[in-house]
Amino acid sequence: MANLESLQQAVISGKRKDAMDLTQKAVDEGVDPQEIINGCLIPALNTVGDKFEKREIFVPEMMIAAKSMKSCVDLLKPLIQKDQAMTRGTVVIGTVFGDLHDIGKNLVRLLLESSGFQVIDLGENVPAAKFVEAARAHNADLVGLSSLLTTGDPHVRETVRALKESDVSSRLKVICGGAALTPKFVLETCGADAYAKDAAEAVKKIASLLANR
Amino acid sequence: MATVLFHPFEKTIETEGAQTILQLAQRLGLPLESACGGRKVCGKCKVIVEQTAEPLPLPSERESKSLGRLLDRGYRLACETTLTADAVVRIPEESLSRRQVILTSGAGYRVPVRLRPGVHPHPVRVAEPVLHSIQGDRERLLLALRETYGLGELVFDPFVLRKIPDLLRSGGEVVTAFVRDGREVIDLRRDSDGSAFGIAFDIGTTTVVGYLMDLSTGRESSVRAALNPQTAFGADVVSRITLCQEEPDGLERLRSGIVGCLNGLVAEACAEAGMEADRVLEATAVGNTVMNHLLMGLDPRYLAMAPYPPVLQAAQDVKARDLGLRIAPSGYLHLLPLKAGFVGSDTIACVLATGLRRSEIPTLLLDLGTNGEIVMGDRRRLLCCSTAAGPAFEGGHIRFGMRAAPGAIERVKIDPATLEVSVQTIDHLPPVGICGSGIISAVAEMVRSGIVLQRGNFNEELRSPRLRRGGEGWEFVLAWASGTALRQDIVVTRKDVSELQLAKSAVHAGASLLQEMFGAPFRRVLLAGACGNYMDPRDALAIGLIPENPGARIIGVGNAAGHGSCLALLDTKKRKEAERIIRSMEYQELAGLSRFSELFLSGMYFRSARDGRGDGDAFQ
Repeated sequence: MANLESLQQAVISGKRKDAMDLTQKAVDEGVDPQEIINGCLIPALNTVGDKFEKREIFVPEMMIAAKSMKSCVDLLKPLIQKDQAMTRGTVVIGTVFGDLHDIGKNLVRLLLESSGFQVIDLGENVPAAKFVEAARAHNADLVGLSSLLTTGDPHVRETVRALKESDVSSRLKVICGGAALTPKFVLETCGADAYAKDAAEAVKKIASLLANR
Repeated sequence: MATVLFHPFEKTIETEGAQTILQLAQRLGLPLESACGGRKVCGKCKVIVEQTAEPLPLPSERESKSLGRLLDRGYRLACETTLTADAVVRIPEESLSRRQVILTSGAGYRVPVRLRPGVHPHPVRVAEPVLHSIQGDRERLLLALRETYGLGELVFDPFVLRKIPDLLRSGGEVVTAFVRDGREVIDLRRDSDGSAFGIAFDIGTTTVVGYLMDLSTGRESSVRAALNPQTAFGADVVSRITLCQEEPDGLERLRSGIVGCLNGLVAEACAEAGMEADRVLEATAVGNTVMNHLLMGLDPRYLAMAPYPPVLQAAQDVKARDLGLRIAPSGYLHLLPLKAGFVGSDTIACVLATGLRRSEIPTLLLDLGTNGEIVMGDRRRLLCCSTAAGPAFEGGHIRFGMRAAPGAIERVKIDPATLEVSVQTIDHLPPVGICGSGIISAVAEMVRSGIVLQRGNFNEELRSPRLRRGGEGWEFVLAWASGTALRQDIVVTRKDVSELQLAKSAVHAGASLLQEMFGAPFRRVLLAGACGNYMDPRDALAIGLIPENPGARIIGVGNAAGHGSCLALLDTKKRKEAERIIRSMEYQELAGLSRFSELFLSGMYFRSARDGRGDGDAFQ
């Protein structure tokens, strides 16, 4: 009998090979792939997020756990029927213009995809116009901006302004995160909907912002 | 036919006609000093005639004036004395011309340099003015320089012109013109004292060093260091760039701050050497690209935005007075070239100092600091990159982290059986914190003794009073409060370990990537920078900072950037080599490279940890 408990533990401890083996075993024994994701992998992710917030683990371990999770999700994705796939929302993310940092953003993408969101990752050094265009083209529910340098502040401001003034602004939520930003700057100066200090908080806030879609 | 033997070289030469001792020495290729090249002006070619078969001709009036009492001890001027019979001549220490000097460094890494400075003294006798043919002072001086040395079109710095009238009439017969690059007269002095001095700067983000060098001997007269005053505006370069963006006078404040610092170093170094600052005729400077730009007053804001273009890459020769640098008013500052936004002239200077361009052995050069510049290669090919390692190697983002200073823990030893700790601090003072090499040593020991496991987590099953949960999570006590100068326990926290993981993984990934691109493993590792110098190479390997190549030697090379600056000061050919380095070295931008992200993630583990063996490659 496939042990979903062990799978959850393997993901939390970042034991990628073990996690993949256990995932495959569960699939072979007929466990529903979506159920594996919802009942096992997403709770594992939440546990990892909690530990991060409680400072029991830090960025390196979180990255390692996220990588294990992604490998399991990659195994399961092809097995999930299109009509069965739940999407909790469409999210466009990217690092702002002038900034090439991507680790935080990649972590957010990983966590979001594993939790059932559709993610369009625009990459790094993304100008404001491109964010707006992508939000329009994909009918996005939310746009997430990552910024790691204080020198990027003007670009964060410009991007949020462009999004809020665009024709897609009515259904769009905007969240900004990254080491360079502060809640005051993001919420008051830029007028965004939410601020996240790190990847784990970002996923939590995104989930709650889109809970009623 | 006469035979002349030269001590201490033990070389002999036969002479038929009457040749001067200087001519004989030159034929043998002996390093006998002659600033004026035998034109009987400088008086530098003093030799001692120890034995002679026949009496020598009487000394000339000039010799008598120049040598005085030394004549009684057998001294003669080699350019004035001819030999027609067997003789034994000794060239004393003070007359040996220094063509090659060895620069010492604290790390015992010796860099030989050929003495070819950019500024040369030219002592001359200038003709008196005459009524029947009007020639200006400057023109007579130029004529003397052309006739004595064959120097062609020379330009005079306007400030030097002001010195001419008085100096030509100051009572002595000889004046010395200091000519730069064979083209410009940048100083004029009475008498034939040919000493020119130069100062080499290494402008670090946190520490600035100045090396005052005697350009005629290559010897170091004084070394001074100071804290970069720009740190008041931010510890790292990005915060300083932000200041330029946010404050209209931000750039000017940063610029004047660093110039003031350099002037302070000049003043201190000259005071220590007992000389005036206006004898310093030449300066060189190296630093990271932001430091370089701020010194020149160039707007650095585009350095912070992809693709990070610098305002310039080429070397610059600037009049010191144009930058407010208080050395000789007509002297120049030479700023070495830089490669990219985050690979500055300090990295180029490291390559110069370590001779990488001529190395047969594929070598990895690491300059560990906030930016972690890495150079990989040999004489065939050089590659470089910059890993934003973060400030952990300088004590930043570490709970009890500090820069290397008295009281900083720099080495840690943990008994694997008892988990008892002994620490070594700088200057052996009671500990006040942990510096870069100390945190590396601490984590390496914690990994070796099983306290830290593969993922960087603490082994919570160990029982020890030193291993406990603190306010910010798990921590390990290095020094109990009673033994410190702080009245607090000095600990290493789980978060400290994760900061080090991120930093070491970035460097490991950058080095691995360059090695992959180079196509062959490195066989030697050179560690530059303060942290690199004091770190135990075995600790660096234990934590996975450096990719493991069995048999690769790891060597600390001290402040290689500072030494590169000195090399460029003493040997102008090194400046050309620096230009060749930036042209041929290939820069690899790491951001956005998926291979770097992969390597960064897989390098996060402490592979030599105890649980590594048990689980095999469960993590892979």
